[in-house]
Formats: sequence, C-alpha cells, structure tokens
Amino acid sequence: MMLKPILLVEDNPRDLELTLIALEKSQLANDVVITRDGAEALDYLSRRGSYLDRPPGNPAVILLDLKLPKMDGLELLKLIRTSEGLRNVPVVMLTSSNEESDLVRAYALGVNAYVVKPVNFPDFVRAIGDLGVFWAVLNEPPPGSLRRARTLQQE
Amino acid sequence: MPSQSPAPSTNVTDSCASEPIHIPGSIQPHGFLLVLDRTHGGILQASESVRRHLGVPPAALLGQELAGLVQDPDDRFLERLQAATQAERAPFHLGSVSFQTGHGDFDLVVHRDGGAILAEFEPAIPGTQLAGLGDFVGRAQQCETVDAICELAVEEIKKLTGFGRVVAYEFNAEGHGRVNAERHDPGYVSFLGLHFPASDIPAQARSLYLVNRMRCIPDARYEPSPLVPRDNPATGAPTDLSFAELRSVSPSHLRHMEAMGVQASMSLSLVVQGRLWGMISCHHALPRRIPLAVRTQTNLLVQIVSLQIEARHAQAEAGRRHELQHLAGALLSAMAEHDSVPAGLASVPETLLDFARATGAAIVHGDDCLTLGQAPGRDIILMLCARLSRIAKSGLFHTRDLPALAPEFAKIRELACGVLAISISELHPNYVLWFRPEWVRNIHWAGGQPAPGDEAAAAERNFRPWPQEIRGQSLAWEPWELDSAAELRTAITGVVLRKAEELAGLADELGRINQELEAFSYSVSHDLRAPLRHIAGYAELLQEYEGKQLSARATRYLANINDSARFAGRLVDALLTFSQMGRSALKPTQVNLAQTLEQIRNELAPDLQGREVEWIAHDLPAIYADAAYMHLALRNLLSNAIKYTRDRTPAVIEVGADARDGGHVIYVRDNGVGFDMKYVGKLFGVFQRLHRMEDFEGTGIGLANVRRIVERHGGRVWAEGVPDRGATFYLFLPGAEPSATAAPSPSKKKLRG
Repeated sequence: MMLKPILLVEDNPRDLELTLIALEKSQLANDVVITRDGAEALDYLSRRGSYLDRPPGNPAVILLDLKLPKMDGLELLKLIRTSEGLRNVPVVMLTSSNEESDLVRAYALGVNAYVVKPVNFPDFVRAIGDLGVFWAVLNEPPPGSLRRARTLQQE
Repeated sequence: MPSQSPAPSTNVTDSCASEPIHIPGSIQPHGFLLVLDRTHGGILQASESVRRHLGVPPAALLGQELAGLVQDPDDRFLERLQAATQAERAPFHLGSVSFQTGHGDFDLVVHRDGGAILAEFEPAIPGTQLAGLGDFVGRAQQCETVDAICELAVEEIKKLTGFGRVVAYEFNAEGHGRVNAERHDPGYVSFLGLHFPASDIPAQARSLYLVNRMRCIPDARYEPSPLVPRDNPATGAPTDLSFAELRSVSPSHLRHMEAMGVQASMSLSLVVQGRLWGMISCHHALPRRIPLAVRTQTNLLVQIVSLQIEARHAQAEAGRRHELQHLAGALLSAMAEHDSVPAGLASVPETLLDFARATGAAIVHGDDCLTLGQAPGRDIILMLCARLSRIAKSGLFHTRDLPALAPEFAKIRELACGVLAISISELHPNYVLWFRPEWVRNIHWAGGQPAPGDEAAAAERNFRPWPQEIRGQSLAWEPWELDSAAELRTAITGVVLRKAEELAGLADELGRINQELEAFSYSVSHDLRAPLRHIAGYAELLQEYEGKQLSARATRYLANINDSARFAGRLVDALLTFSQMGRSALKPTQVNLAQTLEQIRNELAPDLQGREVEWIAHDLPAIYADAAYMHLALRNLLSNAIKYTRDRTPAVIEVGADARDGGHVIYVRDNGVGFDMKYVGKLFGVFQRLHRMEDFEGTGIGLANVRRIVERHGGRVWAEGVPDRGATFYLFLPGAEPSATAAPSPSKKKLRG
C-alpha cells in the first residue's frame, strides 16, 4: 500500500503552485491530490463523479482553503465532520486572513489547525512543511488510516 | 370678584346684584309707554305719565286700539306697527306721530316682546339740528392707539350732545373700569386715569348693557311713572322693560349719580368681540334731554368706535400670534439642531423667554432642572412640577397667582407669581415652565372705600382719587399666548417622536454601513493579501532558482519587490487590525497597568538589543478597560518611544499616570526626535507619518490604533513634542465604573516626580 495522499483544496493557481513548491521543499513522500473547489473535494472524498474509480481510503490530511468556488472551506468542513466515514480525517484550514469570525467558526466546526498563509515566502514554506510533517508523518492517525497500515507492512 | 383686588363700594354690588332691574314696573316720566296687543293694537298697559303728556288717566286708554287714537291718514298704522316689530326685542323708530286729541308730536319707538308691542312716546324736540359725523371714520382709522380712538370719540360725542363731561373707560379682566379718555367743561372734576370699581356696575346691569347699548337718564331726580295695570293682563306677569329706553332706573344708580353731582347721563356700550369692552359715559350737572335723532347718531358713532377697537385688537392679536409663530419656529429649529429638546431650548434662552414674555423659564427633564433668566430655585420648581403632574391633565397649566395653588409658593412670588407650564412628554415628568413676577402697581380709584353695607357712605362717596397698591397677581397670560404654548407643546412632542424615529433610522443605517464595512474589510483581508503573497513568493522563487543568472542590479530589484510586497502585507494587516478594533466589542475587566507595562517591556526586549535605555516607571493605577486593547495601545506608544530614541544614548523613556476628573491620564515621554507641534493634528490619523520611511520604518497606523482604542473607552489622546527634544503622549481614560476608578493600593502614591 502506498502512503496515503495529502488532499489539497485550492482554487487559486498561484497559491496552488506556491503551496506545491512548499510541500515539495518539505520533502514529504506523500502524494498530493489536487482539487479546485469544495464540490470536487467532496467528490474525491466520497469517491464519486470523476473519482468513482479511485482506490478506497481517506487522505492523511486535508489542506483546505477557506474561500472556494461552489462550496467554501467551512461548508466542506461541516460536511466532513458530520459524515460517518470522514469525521476523523485531519483538516487544516489554510487561509489568507486572520479574520476572527472565520477562525471562530472553523474551530467550532472542528478544524484541527488554522493557518494564516504568511506573505513572506520562506515563512510560508516553513509553515506548509511543518504542517505536512506534523499531520502526515508525526501525527498518530485514527485506526485504519494509511500510516498504521504502512507501519504494519514494515513490521 | 377677585378678593385680592379690593375695590371700593363692594357693598353696592351686594345690595343691588339681585335687584330685578329689567322689570321695575315703572318708567321715567319724560315720555310715556303703551303696551299693546300685537294682533289688533289694543292697549294692555299705559304708564301713569300719559296723564301729563296726553291729559288722560292711563285707565281711560286701556282696551282702546292705538290706531284709532293717532293721526292715521292712510289707515295703515296698525300694519306699519306690526311690520316694524317682526323681529323681537329690536327697537325701531317708527317716526313722528301725533294724537287726534292734539298735544304735539311724539317720537315713537316700538319693539316687540312676545305677543306684546312696547310703544314708547317722547315729545319731539323742535328745531333739532343734526351735525354730520364728517370724516369721523377716516380720523379714527388714523389713530395709533385705542386710547386715541376713545379720545376722538369723547370729543365728537361731547360736540354732538353738549354734555358737560364725556368719559370713555375700558374694563380690565376683573371688571374695573379705567378712564382712558375724557372731555369736560369747566366746573366738572376730571376722572381721567381713575379706576371705577367693577361693583359700580352690577352683573345684571352689565348684561343689559351688552344687549341694550344705550341708556339715557335725562333727569335723575324724576318721579317714577308706574305702569297701569302693574302686570300685563295678557300674561299676568310684569312687562319686561329690558329694551325700553324709558325704563326706570335702579335706585342705587341714582344714588351713584347723585354722589357724582350729576343729574343727567347717557351711557353707551363699547362691545368688542361680543364682550362689554368698555363704556362711554356722558354726564351733565343739570337735567338734559337729548333728541332721539342725536341719540341715534351718537349710538352709530359708538358702534363705529367699537368696530375700530375690535379691528385694532384683531390686528394686534394677529401680529402677536404671528410673532409667536415665528418664535416657536425658532425654538423648533433650535431643537432640531440639538440632540435633545432641553439642549435645543437652552441654546436660545432669549427666544424662549420672549415666547411667553416671561422673565424666567425652566426646562425640567426628569430630575434635571435647567433655569434661564430670573427663575426660582430647582427644588421648588421640581415641587411645582410634581403638583403639575396631578393637576395639568391637558398638558397645559397657567396661573397668575401661584400662591393660590399652595401657600409655600408665596415666597417665590417676586420671581414666579405667574406660571405657564407645558408638559413635553406623554411618559415622563418633563416640562417647560415660564415665570412672571408679581405685578405690583399703584392705581387710583375714583372715590374712597366705604364700609360694606354703608349706604350713607356710598351716597356721600366723593370721586376724588384714592390710591391703592395692587399686588398678588402677575400680568395676565393672554389667550394667544396660551394657544401658542399649547401648539408648541404639540410640536415638541412631535419633535421628540421624530427624534426617536431618526435615531432608530440612524441605528439601522449605521448597522448597514457597519455590515458593509465588515464585508469590505473581509474582502480586503482575503483578496488583497493573496496577490501580495504571490508577488513575494515568486520573487523569492526567482531569486532562489534563477539567482545565479541575474545581474547584481536585477537581484537588488528583486529584493525591493520582495520588501515592498511584504511591507504591503503588513499595511493590510495593520489596517485590518484597525478596522477590527472599531467593530469588535470591548471586554472590560480590571487591568493592572503596571503588569501590562512589564509584559510589554519583555515583548519589546529584542528591539532593545545593543541599546542603552533608561526607564523611569512611575506607579500606574489599576483601571477598568479592555485588557488586550490597552496592551496594544501601550505597546504602540512604547515601541514608538523605543523607535524614535534610536539615536539617543542613553534613551530616556518615562511612563506615569495622574488622576484627573475621576479618571486617569497616562503618559509616555521620551527624549527622542520629537515632532513639530504644527503637525500635531496629523499625528493620530490613519497612514499619517511625520518621518521619512528610510529614517523610521512603520505603517503609519499605530497611533491611529491608539486613538481608536482610547476613544472607544470614552477617553481622548493628545501629544506634545519639540523637534529633536522628545515627545510626550497622553491618554485620558475616564473612570467608567465605580470599581474601575479604584485607587492604587495604599502603599503606592499617586505620582512620583
């Protein structure tokens, strides 16, 4: 079994590129699945639409932008937290702003971390790297997710 | 009769107020009266005086038809009699008649009373010359005052009638008459300016004067001539002589004339707006008969005078009402310009006083009492208002005699004997009150004051001036003043309602604008930050991946791009913080500023690396405020102080506090580069900077944040500075809550140094 992927939900192509570079720089081995809005991310998570045929299993972590077309980050988060099969997937909210009301709502909906993307690029790389390492590598995932499987495989 | 205006001769009222003066049963004998059945002209009653004028006893005439007794060439006398008496109680001069038995011509005046005709005969006075009224109306119109019109009238009437003395007088609110015009011959005393007490003319006489506007007494020493029979046989009741010119005179009135030394008189009523406004009285020392034609002419003249006075009054009233409307308009616009009705009224004190021609005024708003002009003390005004809430249900109250309401008000009558008050709230005890002082004046009565019931004294009354000081009342509140006050009240309650609506509207509008602002700053925070991040990111990546191929200049440009993008990011962040500070709610708690200062100094420690800073920290109080915001404000000031003392060795930074106006002034002083006081107005504005960027970096929003924080706490900020000599920043924070102003602990003194 492969490493479970990181699901990145980001609509802005520049942010997407910069985030991918930051992830690359952090040298994580996980695949990164890219979806461009909340609806597509939900398709992926629910294995439906164009993701009907993807292998089963949840991502190691979802890096979720707040402002998204069709279905925004908070709406998606709410669906994830109320869905039986998805409830335990770690979700990190990536956002441009430290707007207090967003922060409060995100935590109320059960976000695992809330990160304001720094304007300074090295800081941004560091933040994304830290997040990837913590949630995809260090964090002990819920039973049935990828790292436990990998550990078992290695044993 | 108001007891506080003691008038002479009150006993006259007592003795004759109940006298049935309209049915004396007799007439003055200078003419004779026949009471006729209106249907056939048969004589029902005749006065005793027919004996003198026609040479027959009255009984001889009873039952005869009048038409058969007089010269009636066309045989239509009865018809004319009936035609002239269609309307009831309207005397009509039927012309001159003579009897078949001779005895000369008589002027005949008839009027109807029910089914009876009262026919009054007076011997015609031969050779009567009628002088024209000339341009009386034109001259009256040119008079500037009512007194001048009366002056003109008495002059004209004296000429027409030849009476020895003609006076005009005006009744005041209490019914006393003041002589305002007079013409008299030598030998007559002058009454000009004197007051005749109301009691001189009893109530029932006044009502008779109102309907029958002329009264002649050619000889006060006449022998009354009774009607025969005494009662009208058709009704079995005495004949009502109200409208009979010959009606016999009340004995008290005759005594009055006697005391005045007058044997003949004629009185004419000045009726203005349906009210007995005054009288014109003509006196003669000897008996004097005035021909009917002259009397008619005089009566006409007096009616013209009445109309002229009425016109002047209407004009003056209209002028005053117009002025009051103007003043009310000024008051309303003052209210509209101010936040509250009391503040608006207080801003135009002169107008408020003028509005009611008052010497003092008060605006009572709950327990607050603001006084203007000469007004009594707050406590007694509030006591009065407490009473008003019970008695003035209509919202309007007025009195000329406040002590009559309760004796405790007697002590303020020199300031507030008269009170006009309006309630300006349906719910709260809010009033506007106007005050007028007691009106003290000296008047001269015509004649002394006989003891009550002393008929002899009344008879011997001389009419020499008798002075008296009148007090106990303010000037009267005029009807138009009361009307205008009521209108003002309606308008104020309207203003109050409209203000409430405006406030509600403003609150809605503010809420909407706030929402828009929130949406705007939300959008700025997300959408503006993202491209800045991209610029910085790509600049960084370009340097990282392609740096080796870039020239030194390109590398420098790239660094500048990166710096600028990052600085723009900080600006956006600062602006957002500033905007959030205006929107989010304060969470006030007890804040120990000394602890806050210590925390900030720790946070700023990295900036102090390699610097020599001398701190002077005085005792700081505990205040009631939002801890996070106060931290931010103080941190801004301290980091500024550190920044602008960068070139000083040592830098001296002093922090202290001072108690003031129940709150605290907190200051931060440094010995840094300072600033020119002419730019002090820009210091606390958003994005205002007084130094070049390369000298002192910064977003230009720090002090705007400080100001916003302090103002949201109800305080204010200010600063003093001298270029190159340092600056001091002050924050004043009011003691918002009793617990908030808790003094520093006892061991600490307010301020050292």
